[in-house]
Amino acid sequence: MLKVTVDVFSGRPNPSWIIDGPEGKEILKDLAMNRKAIDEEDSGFQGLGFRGIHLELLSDETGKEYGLPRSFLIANGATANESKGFEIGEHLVGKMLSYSKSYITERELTPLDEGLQKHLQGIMKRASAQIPKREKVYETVNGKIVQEELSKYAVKVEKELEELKSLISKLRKVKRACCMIEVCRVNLSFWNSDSYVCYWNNCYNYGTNRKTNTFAQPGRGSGHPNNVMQCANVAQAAKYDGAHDRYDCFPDSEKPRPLMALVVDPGWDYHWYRYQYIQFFGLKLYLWGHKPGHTKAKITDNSGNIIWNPETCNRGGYTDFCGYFYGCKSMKVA
Amino acid sequence: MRVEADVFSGVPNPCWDLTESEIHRLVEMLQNLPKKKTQLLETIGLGYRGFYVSEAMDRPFNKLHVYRGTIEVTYADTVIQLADKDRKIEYWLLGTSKQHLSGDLFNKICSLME
Repeated sequence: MLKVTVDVFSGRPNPSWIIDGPEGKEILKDLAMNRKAIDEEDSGFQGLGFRGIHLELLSDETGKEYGLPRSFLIANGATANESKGFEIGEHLVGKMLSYSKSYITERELTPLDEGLQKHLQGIMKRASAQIPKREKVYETVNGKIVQEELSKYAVKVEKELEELKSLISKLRKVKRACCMIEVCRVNLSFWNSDSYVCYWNNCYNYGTNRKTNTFAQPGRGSGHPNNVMQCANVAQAAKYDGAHDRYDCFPDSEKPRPLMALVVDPGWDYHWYRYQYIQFFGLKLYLWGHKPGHTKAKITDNSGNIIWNPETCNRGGYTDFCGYFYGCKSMKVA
Repeated sequence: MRVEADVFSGVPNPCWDLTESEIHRLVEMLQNLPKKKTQLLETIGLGYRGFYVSEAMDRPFNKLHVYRGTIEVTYADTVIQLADKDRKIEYWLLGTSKQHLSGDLFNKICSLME
């Protein structure tokens, strides 16, 4: 006796029936001659939808007779002969109504009827349409079109190798450009306690750590004012003032060298953050401080969270992250 | 009297002056507003943070801060808060900007206020 279960449902029991007599023997004989059509349990496609047909021998003698395991799968998306598996599967489903009378517990929730049979035939047809693609992979394993497949893989591997080389080169560059910076402790009262200072100093003042009381603008101190609110333009204006891109190091004579981050609300405004730390129960916690326009300097973002990373914090409309920069002693901020 | 829409961080905020009749209208509207229990007027950080009304260049000391239904009046060391029901004065102030700001900037402030 052979128990057939179509592994297809997720919530309700899978359709299942028992085949006995000569028909079961014919199927087992067919499978014994096509061993590549079977696979072990819990293998192959494991997602939602048709996952194969589970066959279980209900007598310990039958398996020995045909040299088959006690239970196994066919048409599970992973056998070396999916076509045969689907051929047998379609045959089994085609005959399932003639076994609808045999009692098994699963049948109470999943009765075998014409509607179910059509449903199974439909999803198996869709699944079998993908066979050629799968079998090609196996043919490759069996050496039939090894050359073609290998050359495809070779191209892929070469491409990945090039990407890795480029990454390694970038990492080496970063390692070489390990710049020294100065990280200041957060001192919000310096900016906030005097309302005049708070009003006349903005994010650029805070980012560069220069209280000018002029509501400073990138480029103004060096005579290169900028009116275009895009990353490249604001960054260039700050560089005219003396800022450097990250990893373009300043010498020790340019201490203090704060690390700043620039973001832009495209077309409208820019904003700067400065890398700092707070002392918390004796620990140094590194974070980012900022001063949104005339408002008080702070270490939190628009969600009220501490800014650990200016790239991912809540920045409202300042959607473009432009990059990191160094300030320096000789920077002209005005 | 100057109005400043506090919306930018780096570039200067858009500012414009109220006319004599607008100043009278504003004072008239303020007189009828109920007082609120004073609480810290917290703004979001980056983005729209309200309107400030002050004598030009005098903003840090004497001002009105109008933000999402609350009007904070600062005069020297005294701070009181008034309830701006339905953000009536806030939107009225926005309306006074129309003849002074570009259409794009006006629309930008409108979108930030929502």
